Amino acid sequence: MSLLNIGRSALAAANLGMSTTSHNIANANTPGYSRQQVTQRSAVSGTPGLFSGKGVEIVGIERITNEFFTQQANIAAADSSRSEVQLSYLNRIADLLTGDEASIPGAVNRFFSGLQDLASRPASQTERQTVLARATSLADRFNNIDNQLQAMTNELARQLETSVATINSSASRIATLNDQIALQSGTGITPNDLLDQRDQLVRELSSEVKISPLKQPDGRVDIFLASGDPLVMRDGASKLVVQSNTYNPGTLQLASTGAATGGNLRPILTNVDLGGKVSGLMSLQTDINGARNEIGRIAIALATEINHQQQLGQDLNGQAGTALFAVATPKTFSINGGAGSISAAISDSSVLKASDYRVDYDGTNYTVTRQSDGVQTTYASLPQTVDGLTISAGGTAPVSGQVFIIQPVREGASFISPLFSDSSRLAAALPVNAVLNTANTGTAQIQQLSVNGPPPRAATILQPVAITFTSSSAFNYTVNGGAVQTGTLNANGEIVVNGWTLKLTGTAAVGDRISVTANTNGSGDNRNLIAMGRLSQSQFIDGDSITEANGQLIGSFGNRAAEMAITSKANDRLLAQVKQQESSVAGVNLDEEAANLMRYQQAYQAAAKAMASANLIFEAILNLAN
Amino acid sequence: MSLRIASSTFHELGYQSIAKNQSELLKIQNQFATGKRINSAADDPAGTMRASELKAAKSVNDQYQRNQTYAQNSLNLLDGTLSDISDVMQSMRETLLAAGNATLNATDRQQYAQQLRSKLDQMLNLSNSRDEAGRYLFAGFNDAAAPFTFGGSTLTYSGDNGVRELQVSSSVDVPLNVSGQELFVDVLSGNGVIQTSGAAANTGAGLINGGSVTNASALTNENFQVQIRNVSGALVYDVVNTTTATTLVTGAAFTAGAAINVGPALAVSITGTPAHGDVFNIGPAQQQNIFQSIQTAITALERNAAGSISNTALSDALRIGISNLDQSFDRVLNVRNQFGNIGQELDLQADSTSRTDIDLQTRISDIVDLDPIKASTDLAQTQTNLEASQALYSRITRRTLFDYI
Repeated sequence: MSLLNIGRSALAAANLGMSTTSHNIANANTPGYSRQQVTQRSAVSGTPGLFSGKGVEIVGIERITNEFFTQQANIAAADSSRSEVQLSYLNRIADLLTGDEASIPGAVNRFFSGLQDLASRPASQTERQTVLARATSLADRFNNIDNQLQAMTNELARQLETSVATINSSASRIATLNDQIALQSGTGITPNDLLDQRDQLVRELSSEVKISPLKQPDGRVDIFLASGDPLVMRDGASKLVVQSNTYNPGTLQLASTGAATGGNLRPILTNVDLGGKVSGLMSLQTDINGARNEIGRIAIALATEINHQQQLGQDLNGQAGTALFAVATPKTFSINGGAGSISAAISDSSVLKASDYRVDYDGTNYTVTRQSDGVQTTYASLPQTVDGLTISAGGTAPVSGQVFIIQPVREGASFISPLFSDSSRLAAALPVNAVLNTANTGTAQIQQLSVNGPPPRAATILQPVAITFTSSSAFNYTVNGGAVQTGTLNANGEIVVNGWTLKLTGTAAVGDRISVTANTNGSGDNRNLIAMGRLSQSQFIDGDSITEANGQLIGSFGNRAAEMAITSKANDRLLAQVKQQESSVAGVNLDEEAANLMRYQQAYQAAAKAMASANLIFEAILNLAN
Repeated sequence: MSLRIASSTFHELGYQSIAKNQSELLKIQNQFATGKRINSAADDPAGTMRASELKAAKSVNDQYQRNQTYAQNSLNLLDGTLSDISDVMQSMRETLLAAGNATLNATDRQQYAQQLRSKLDQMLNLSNSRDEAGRYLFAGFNDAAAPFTFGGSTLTYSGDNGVRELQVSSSVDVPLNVSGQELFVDVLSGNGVIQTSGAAANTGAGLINGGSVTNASALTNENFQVQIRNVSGALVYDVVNTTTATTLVTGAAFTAGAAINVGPALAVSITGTPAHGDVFNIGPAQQQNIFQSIQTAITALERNAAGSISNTALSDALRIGISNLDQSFDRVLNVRNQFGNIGQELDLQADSTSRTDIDLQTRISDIVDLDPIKASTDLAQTQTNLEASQALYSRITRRTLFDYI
C-alpha cells in the first residue's frame, strides 16, 4: 500500500506546487505581493530499523521575503517622497521668483525708469501717470507673489491633511490586520497574504511619514513615529490631527490622540524630523514663510525709502509730498495667555532682518530671540530696539512667563499698495530754492540743495532764510526776517539750517549773500525725483541694494531647488535600487514560475505513473489469486 | 548562481529609463520654446543671480541712454533758440551802429527806432520760447508761465533760477536748461566792470569812451565824475569821487582823446570838445538787461528825431546801448559754448553707454540664452537615448518562457 500512499503524497505535493505557482503567476503584478514557495521534505518511515521512504511531506507554504530589504525600502520610500514634495514646491518658488517680466526686479526697474523719465519732464501728466501706473504694478507684483506663496501655504495645509488622513487610515487598517494575523498565527497558520497586505500598508505609511515597526511575538507589529509617539499598538491605532502651531503663528503642527494619550490631544514635537512627505510639507512651511519674510522685508524697505523721499519733496500743487505706498506694520501675537501685551514698530527699515522674533519675559528679563538664526539678546526693560524693530510694553505690562511672537515683515509684500491716484501728488520738486546774490565777490557756487530727512520736513522750511558770510566759513543768518543767528559751514562745506542742507563749492567772500526761499510754482523742478531715482542703487536693505537683495533671494531658492533636485534624484535611485533588491528576493519571475510549473507538472505525471505502476502490481497480484 | 530578477523589475526599469529620457526631452523642448538656457532659478542658481544683477545694470544703462537722448534733444532745442537770440542781437547791433550815422535825418532815425522796436518784440518772444511740451525754456523751475514781461521800460522776470539736471551716467549729471535770470537778467552794463556816460545836461560835443581798468587790484565800488571847466579859454578837468565826495584831481589840462586817470584803478578818455560844466559819470557796472538797453537806445533815437536831445547825447546813448548789448551777446555766446561742451560730453557718454549696453547684453545672453548648437546636440542625444530605451524595453519584455511551452 505504501506505493499508492507515496504516489498520493507526491501527487498532492505536485498539485500544491502547481497551485502555488499559479498563485504566484496570478499575483505577479500585485503590489506588495511576496512570492510563495512550497516547502516539502521526504517523509521518513515510522518502522524502526527500516529506512524506506514514505513519500513526500508538505511542511508549509513559505513567503519569501527579506525583512532587512523591506525595512530599507520603507526608509528609502520615506526619504524619496519627502524630497519629491520638497522639490516640487521649491521649483515652484524658484520659478515664481525668477519669472522675467513678472518678477520683482523687473517691476522695480520699470518703476525707477518711470521716475527717471519723469525727471526729464517733471510737469508732464503722461509721465506722472506712467510713474503711478508702474508704482501700482510694482505693488501688484509684490502682492501677487506673496499671494501665490500664501496659496502654496494653503495647498501645503491641504496636502498635510490628506497625508494625515492616509496615515490614519493605514494605521487603523494595520491595527485590524494585526488582530487578524494574531488570531490566525495563534491557530498555527501563517497568513501569508495578510502579511503581504500589512507590509504593503506599512510601505504606504512609510512614504507619508518615517516609522519604526516593532515586531511582537504574536505576529503583530507596533508602529512608532520618529518622535517616539506610538501610531499602532496592541490596543489600536492612534489618530493624528493637524492643528495650528501656537508658537509659530501661521504654521501647522501634528498632534496625536488615542489610547496612548488617554484620548487627549498631544502635540507632536515640531523640532523632530518626522520624515516622509509629512516632514517635507512641514519644512516647506518654514521655507515659504522665510520667502514671505524676505520679500516682505524688501517691500517694506523700498516703500519706506520712497515714502520718505516723497515726504521731503513738494508736489505739483506746491504741497508737501505724502507717502506713496502703504507700509505694513509688525504683527504681534501673545502666545500663552496672560494679561500683558507688547507692541512692535519699525523704527529703521534699512536694518530689518527677514525673521520672526520671540520675546520671553521671565519676570525680570525680556529675552528676544531672532527666529531665523536663534540669536538671543536679554533686556531688563522695554522699549528696546532690535534690528530696526522697536519693541515696547503694551498698556498692561507683560507678566512673568508670557511669550510673544513678533512677525515684523511677514505681511510686507501683501500690504504694499499705492496710496493716491492723483498723479500731481508725486513730489518731483524740492520745497526750497537757493539763490546767490549777484553782487557776491567770492567764488562760492551752489552745488546742491537738499531737504534733511527723515520726514516730516521742518515745519518752518518754507520760511525765507537770508545768509550773509562773515568769513569764508562762518555766516550770519535770519529765518523769516527774525533775529540774526550765527552758523558755520560743516566739515563737508555745507550750510545746515532750517531743515535743509546747502552744499557749496568754491569759497565765499565776506559779505557774500545767499537767500533760500520757498520754491513756488516749481513745476519744472525735478530735484526730488533725481533723489528718488538714486534709491535704485542705494543699499537700504540691511546693507544691500534692491538688486542685491533680490538676487540673494532668487539665488537662495534656486540653490535649494537645485540641491533638492540632486537629493531627490539620489533618493529615487536608492529607492529603486532597494526595491529592486527587495523584489529580487520577493518578486515573481515568470520564467522561473514557468520552469516550476513544468517541474510540478512532470512531477505530477511521474507520481501518477507511479500510482499506475502500483495499480498494475495490485492487478498482477489479483490475477495471481485468480 | 546569478541574481534572481523579478519580472516586474524589467518593466519598472524599462519604464524608468523611458520616463527619464522623456523628461530630459521636455526640458530641452522648453529651452527651445523660450530660447533660454535658464528657465528657472533652479536650472542655474549662480547664473540666475548674475543675470538678475546684469539685467538691473542694463536697465539702469538703458535709462542713461534714454536720458542722453532726451538731454541731446533738449540741448538741440536750446541751442537753436539761443542761436536765434544771438542772430537777433547781431542784427540789433547792426541797427544801432547804422542809427549812429551822422548823415541820417529825423525820419531815418524814426525808422531805425521802429526796426529796433520790432526786434525787441522778437527778442521777447524768443525769451518766452517753449519746448515741445509747452513748458517755457528760460523760466527755471517755474516753467508753466511765461517768464518775461516787458512793460515798456522795466523787465519783469517771474521765473526762478532753477536748473533741471538729468543723470546721463553713474557720475555725470547734465543741466537741461539755463534760467532767464542767468541768460538775460544777471548781465552787467558797460564793459562788465564799469559803466560810463555823459550827463544828460551836457551841452558840449564831448564823448566819453567805455573806460578801462588799469589796476584791477585797486578797484572799488565807488562812483566818479570827470567835470569839465573852462578856465580862461582853456579846458581843464576835475576828477571827483562822488561816493566819498573827495576831489582827486583839480584843474588838469584837458586834451581830447588823452587818458584821464579816474582814481587808482580806472582810466577814461573823452573825444570831441566838451563844454564848460559838462559832467561825465564813471561808476561800477550795474545789472542791465538787453530789453532795457535797447529800449533806452530807442528812446534816445526818438528824442533825437524829435529834436529834444543832441546828436552827441544820441551818440553816447548808442555807444552805451552797443556796449550793453555786447555784454548780453557775450553771455548768450558763453551759454551756447557751455551747452556745446555739454553736448560733446553727452556724445562721449553715449558712446560709452552704448558700448556698455552691448557688453551687458552679450554677458546676459551668454548666461541666459540657449546655445542652439549645443541644445541641438543634446536633443539628438536624448532622442537617441529615448529610442534606444524604447527598443530595449520592447525587446526584453517581448518573450517569456511561456511562449515556448
